[in-house]
Amino acid sequence: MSVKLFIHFLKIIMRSRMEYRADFLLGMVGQILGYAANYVIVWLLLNRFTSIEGWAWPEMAFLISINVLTYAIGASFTYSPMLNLEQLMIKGDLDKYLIKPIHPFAYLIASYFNFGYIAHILISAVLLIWSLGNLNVHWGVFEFTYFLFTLLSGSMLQAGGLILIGSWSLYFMKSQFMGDLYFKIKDVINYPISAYAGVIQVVLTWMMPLAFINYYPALYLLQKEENTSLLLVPMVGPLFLFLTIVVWHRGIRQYQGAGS
Amino acid sequence: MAIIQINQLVKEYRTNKRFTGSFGLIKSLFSSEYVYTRAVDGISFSIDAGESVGYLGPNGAGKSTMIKMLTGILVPTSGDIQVDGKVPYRNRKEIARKIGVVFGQRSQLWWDLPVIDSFELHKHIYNISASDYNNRVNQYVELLDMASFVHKPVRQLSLGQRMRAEIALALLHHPEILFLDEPTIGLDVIAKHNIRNFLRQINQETNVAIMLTTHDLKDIEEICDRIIIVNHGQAVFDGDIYHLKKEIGGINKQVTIEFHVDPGEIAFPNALLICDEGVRKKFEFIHHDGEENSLMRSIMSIPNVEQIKDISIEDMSIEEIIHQAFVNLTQNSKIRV
Repeated sequence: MSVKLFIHFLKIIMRSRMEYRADFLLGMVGQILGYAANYVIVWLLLNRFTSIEGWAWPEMAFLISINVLTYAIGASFTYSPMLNLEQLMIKGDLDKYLIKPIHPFAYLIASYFNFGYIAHILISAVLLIWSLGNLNVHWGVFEFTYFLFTLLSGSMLQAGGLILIGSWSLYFMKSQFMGDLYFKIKDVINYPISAYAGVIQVVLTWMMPLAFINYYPALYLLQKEENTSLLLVPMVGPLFLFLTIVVWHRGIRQYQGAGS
Repeated sequence: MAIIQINQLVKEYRTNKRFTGSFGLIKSLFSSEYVYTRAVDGISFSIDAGESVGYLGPNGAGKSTMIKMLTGILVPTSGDIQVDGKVPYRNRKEIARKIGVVFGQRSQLWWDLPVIDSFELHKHIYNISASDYNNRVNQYVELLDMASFVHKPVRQLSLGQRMRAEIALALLHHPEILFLDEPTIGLDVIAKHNIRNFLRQINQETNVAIMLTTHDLKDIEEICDRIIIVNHGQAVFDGDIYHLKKEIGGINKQVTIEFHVDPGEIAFPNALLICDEGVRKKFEFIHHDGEENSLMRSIMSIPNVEQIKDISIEDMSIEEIIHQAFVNLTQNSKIRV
């Protein structure tokens, strides 16, 4: 799909969304309040304990903001198409994504792009910029590039996680349970994973690589650990996204009945 | 030239086997035994460019499955399938440019936006040139009488208006084949009539081949030159309506004659007496090729012809014919004409 076509989709979606302006604005307010609460909880905790595993409030704000910001970017693309997939399959509407001269994955992503994450992006960007001002980071060209790639890679990881939920419905027809589970788990990385038991750290690194979204890049940027392998962290996102798209395509082939 | 060619096509669906009995539920959960159902069971046919074919069969006969295989949505279990010389599921994107698809029960339009926005997006997806696009939109708006609602959001349209927009959308990129899965479902008589007229016209003028599934036999009668009837996954008839009538015996005519006074017994060499109520008698005239006017001659030749009060001659309706076809043709072996 060309960029031009994708932008055309975005225009159409925006126009569609503006048919229900009040709903859109109220949704934004609700999200800002919800996510503000997330920050407040941590802030309250830190008022009492001053640090969690050696992470002070601005560092924690940095950690949370990266999680929320990358989630918002990733989910703008993949939340709606992937969580609607179950319904699309039940109603048979998935078929219409398979009869167009464009890639079904790209077509689905473009048709369901979600502008509703502007609120997430606003609140997390504000907190992120604030935390950066209060952190003792040396910002050279390299650090800045690393930071940008961190955001990119994190967004890909978040997008990929949602793609896996969509794939689950392609294989097993139902994905609601997986979706619920994922949303219960995804906020554990609002805290440094060193605060969790060893098993959970292994899971968050090697099985559900959520720690690569914010924890590992933060270790490097905040100079908490000297380890050259941390430089490779921004590669995890593209790799993970690629794998999830492969899994999704296998799912579509199964849906088409090629697998059985 | 054949635009669709399928040979011994089979589509099997696999479902987990369900067990009954006290441990049946648990057994179902862990068993890897499957039940296979054949939705399409060895069907062969070919369709030429510009043909219009009705694909008919009772619910569950495998009609939608066939459309889905032809459009590349589903992969067949076995057999050959070619659309415009290519295997649809392997060349999905190329085939997509050659076909238009209308699902009667699902919309391809953007619900909240004016119809024209969906057309516009379609133009970008299919890379239709501006001049072609404008010409076609104007043409379809006129032919389908859409001027009054083309700038209205789809959610405000009536079903009949929406279906016209769906068909126009499916034709915007000038496909060589138009597939319609129950295009007139739920429409009122006038809307149905308009859509049938349009499809007939577009089929004759632009030579787009049409393949439609339907339960409304008027659709077939008014749009299609050819009928394929399927039942239990197999094609039981393939030919035109005339031959179908002949096959079923539907070409015979039922004649009811009413007399002023009971004329007593009357017999025709080419008819059976079905019902005799004295003054009113009902016959079935058996059709023989080359003797199309024998019916009238027979009636006029009865001795008390001046005693006739009224005559009615009925054709078997297409509903009756198809009903007969579903019943008869599955029992007998396949018939090809």
